[in-house]
Amino acid sequence: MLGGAFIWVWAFLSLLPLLWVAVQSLRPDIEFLVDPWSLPSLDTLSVDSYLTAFVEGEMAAYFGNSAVVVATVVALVLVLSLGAGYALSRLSFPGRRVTSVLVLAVLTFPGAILLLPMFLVSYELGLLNSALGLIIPYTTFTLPLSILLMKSAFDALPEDVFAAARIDGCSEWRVFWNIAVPLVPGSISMVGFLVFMPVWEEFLWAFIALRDSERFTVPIGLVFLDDNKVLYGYNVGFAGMVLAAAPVIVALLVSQRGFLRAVTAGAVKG
Amino acid sequence: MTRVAAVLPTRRRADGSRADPPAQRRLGVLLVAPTLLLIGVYFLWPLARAFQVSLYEYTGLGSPAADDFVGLGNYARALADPELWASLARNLLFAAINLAGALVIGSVLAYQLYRKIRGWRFLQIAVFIPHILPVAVVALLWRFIYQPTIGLLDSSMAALGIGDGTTLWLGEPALASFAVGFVWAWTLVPFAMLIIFVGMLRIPEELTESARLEGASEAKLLRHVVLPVIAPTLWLVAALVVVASFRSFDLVYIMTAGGPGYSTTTAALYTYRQAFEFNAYGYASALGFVIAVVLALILPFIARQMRRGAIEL
Repeated sequence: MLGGAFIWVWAFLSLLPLLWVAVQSLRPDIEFLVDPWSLPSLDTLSVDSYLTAFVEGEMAAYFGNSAVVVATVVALVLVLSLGAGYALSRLSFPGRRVTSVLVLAVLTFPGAILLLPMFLVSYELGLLNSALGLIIPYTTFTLPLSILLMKSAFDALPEDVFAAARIDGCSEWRVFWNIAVPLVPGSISMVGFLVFMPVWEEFLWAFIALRDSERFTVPIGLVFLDDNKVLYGYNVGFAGMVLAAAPVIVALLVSQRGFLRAVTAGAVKG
Repeated sequence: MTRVAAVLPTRRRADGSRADPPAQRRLGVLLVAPTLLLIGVYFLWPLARAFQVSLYEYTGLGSPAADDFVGLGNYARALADPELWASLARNLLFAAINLAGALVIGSVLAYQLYRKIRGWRFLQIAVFIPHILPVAVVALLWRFIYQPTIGLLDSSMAALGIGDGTTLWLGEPALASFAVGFVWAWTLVPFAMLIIFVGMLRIPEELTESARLEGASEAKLLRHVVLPVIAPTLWLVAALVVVASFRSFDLVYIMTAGGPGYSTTTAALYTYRQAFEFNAYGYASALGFVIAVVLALILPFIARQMRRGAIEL
């Protein structure tokens, strides 16, 4: 069937750019400049471009910066969205409605327009050019969807569980942390995915907020590396692309189901 | 908005157990306080600041000076700025390219997965890769592919004897938006495929079975069995793709920075360039609000369609 052939062509087109670059990253530039489709020969293959990217190209430092930012944001969002999602789902408290409305407002607002105003506020807070200046806004803008997902997970739990725990004399805190939270492990990993992906690849805000190259995250560091190809050569830039893509590809291959489910849930809720 | 229902407080506890309302109130406030603080600092405050700044001819950091006050002047200028409307039109062009790719190619691919074509598990993952690649990687990959002479596209075309291998894919205003649009669609097709595939899983098997038994052609099956079931899903995908086409501009920015000239500058990117290329902070803020209002007029319609699809999924 035509469609059957087409999906193979499209799969080829999907993989080709990254595969080509991955092969090329291991060869001297001159080989592809002479013939882009020449096959690699074993004598000239080398991982030097990766060493150059890591050391002289500072990719090692960029990975460190990104790791700190991503890990902190994921941890913060998980804790805060569990709390807020639970509160909106199960507790009655003053400010509940306002919270719901604000969460939806952040979720629906076109964030790209906020870049300049956020820059002005970051300047006033003295948070420009710092990891914290990335962590706080990334947390703020990944929270709303996470809260929605957590809230619907808590909504789905049977009320009896909570009633029983309260009758047993559990404090409200313990009902939340020791009873409710352990019942939503699926949502915790899903939110983890949905926060990790956009924060790992975020470019524009980091590009605006960071000035010194020693604070760069991987996406800006990568573009910086590519801009310096005169200095390092094309294959070092290619090596950088492979390195920046590696974490998400590994995550996809390790947890295909979880990944695809997270993307679907994120789309439907968001 | 339409999703209010999804997040509004769930009905109060009706079980009659003696929960301690003051303790609940305390915990509730405690649990949402950090979220409210963050939203206050990085959403409400920036909005308020942007509105203040939009009333001034403001180009620097710090407090705007009183004699730079222009009232609604920046808004009047924005509404009369042909570049704003041109940039919104470019959003529409990107949305059209992305829609065509996502709906047509996404449906064809999803149907192959649904038919469990040989190797479908591998294909699903392979096709999905462009969607999860960091946007900077996508942009740099394709910036290289489109590079004149040594880029993969030009050099391959020259090798095949098509053209002279010196096409400036990203350097010609007429070509650049289609070159970028193709890449944008390339990243959205897998996403559309996945959602449509999930939608197709709801097609009742008895229905396809009996249609086949009665000797219905593949075309009839698609038209009368598959399409009605996935129609709401297609609307959902369409809505999500349009929203994405208006919201983000990072791919465009890394590939062309909005150029050549303004030929790939979308609306949000236009405010960005006004702000960070020309330091026109006041004007850029006003532009931002105008664009937010324009989107708010388009989005409720889209959100309605979205909800129709989401309910069914």
